[in-house]
Amino acid sequence: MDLVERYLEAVKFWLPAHLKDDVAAELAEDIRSEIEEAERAKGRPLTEDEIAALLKARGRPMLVASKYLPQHSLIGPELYPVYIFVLKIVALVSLAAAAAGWALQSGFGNGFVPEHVPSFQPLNSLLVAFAVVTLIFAVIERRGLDPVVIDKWNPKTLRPVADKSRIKRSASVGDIAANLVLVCLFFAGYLSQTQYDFRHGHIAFSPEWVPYWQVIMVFAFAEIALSATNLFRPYWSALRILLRLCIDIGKTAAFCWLLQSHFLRAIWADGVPDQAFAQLIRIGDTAARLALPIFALFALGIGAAALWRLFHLKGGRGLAAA
Amino acid sequence: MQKAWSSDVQTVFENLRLELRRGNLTLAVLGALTREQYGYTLRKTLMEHGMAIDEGTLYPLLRRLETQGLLASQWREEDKRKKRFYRLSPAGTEVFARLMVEWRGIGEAVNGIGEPGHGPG
Repeated sequence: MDLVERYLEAVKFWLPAHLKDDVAAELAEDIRSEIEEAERAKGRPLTEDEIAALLKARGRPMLVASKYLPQHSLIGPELYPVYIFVLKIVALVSLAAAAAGWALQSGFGNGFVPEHVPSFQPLNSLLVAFAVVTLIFAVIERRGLDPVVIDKWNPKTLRPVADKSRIKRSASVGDIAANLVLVCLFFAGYLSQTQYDFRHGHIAFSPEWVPYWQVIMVFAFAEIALSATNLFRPYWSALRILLRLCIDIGKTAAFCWLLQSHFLRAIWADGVPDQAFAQLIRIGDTAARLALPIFALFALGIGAAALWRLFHLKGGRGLAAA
Repeated sequence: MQKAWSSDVQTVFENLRLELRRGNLTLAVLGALTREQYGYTLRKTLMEHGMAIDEGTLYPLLRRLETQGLLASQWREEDKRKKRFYRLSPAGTEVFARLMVEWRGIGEAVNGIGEPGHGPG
């Protein structure tokens, strides 16, 4: 019976004090009854191996004890979908911050990051963020969801179903307005000079500044035409997706060409220390060095956006329908 | 002869079968305790009627039903050994009767739905 006593002790170890003796007594009776029945059937006492097999069949003491305990979960099924959703957002933000930190440090050197900011450790930040989110949800879980909050919802306030192929009118209007502002500035002569003198300052750009804006004007007119079409026919077509792609790639290429020219040549303003301007010039120089990777990165994003639009073309013509 | 299933379908079936049995276990336990029994004989009774239940499931279930007021238990000596005897409490008897009505209703409903002429098309 030594094995049975040891088994019972092991089960008791995992039980709360108020259950230990009661559960152990009932379990002991059940085990003894089972042993007695087996002994009657065999006509002899059970061997130690046979008792061990009988106990093994009952399961690990910890698992046996766990069945007497109320089921606890850190995050329950009601909160779990929200918890996962928040974790995904946190992961995305942490990764974006890590990428930005890496880009700043590798592009502009450690000197760009202020000294009081500790060195960025993406894995640590991610783990801490996950731990904090988990802790918050565990507290909410423990306190229990407020039944009033659960019942207080109105189907009418649910978000409308998003039409992924529809072009928002506000986006089209915004595009037209922004391009019109540029056109006005250009024809008013503000973008056709390389030197700008202000009352308390001066700024000088590279000679590429003027042709850059001339090229941008061509794209601005194209974009106004495209956005005006989108305004009245607010669903993407393959042709307009291609046009948008060309315009965006063209504008990005022009901007990166401007970056390469070290476009910020001189800058000063009253009361601002020279070091601040020197730092700006240095950033301009680094941007010139990184112009090609910057173009590649933007082109990748623009290409992905075009593919997404193509995928969601309305009327079953998109890749999504394939 | 039953058609051979793929292991995936077999697993799904086993899970659903266990789920179905689990749902009926409480009813079987309540039914068996219309007469007083202690844990081990209760387990044997259920097994003889084709509702085998392991002790790791039975004893916590008995404890829960007692906490809910459906069972009453008493430690008593029998054959020079202390045993805990269970039986339905008055509330348990009433709940069991109502659950049986519900269970029969569900059985009839499921049978009705499963009969030819009730399916789509």
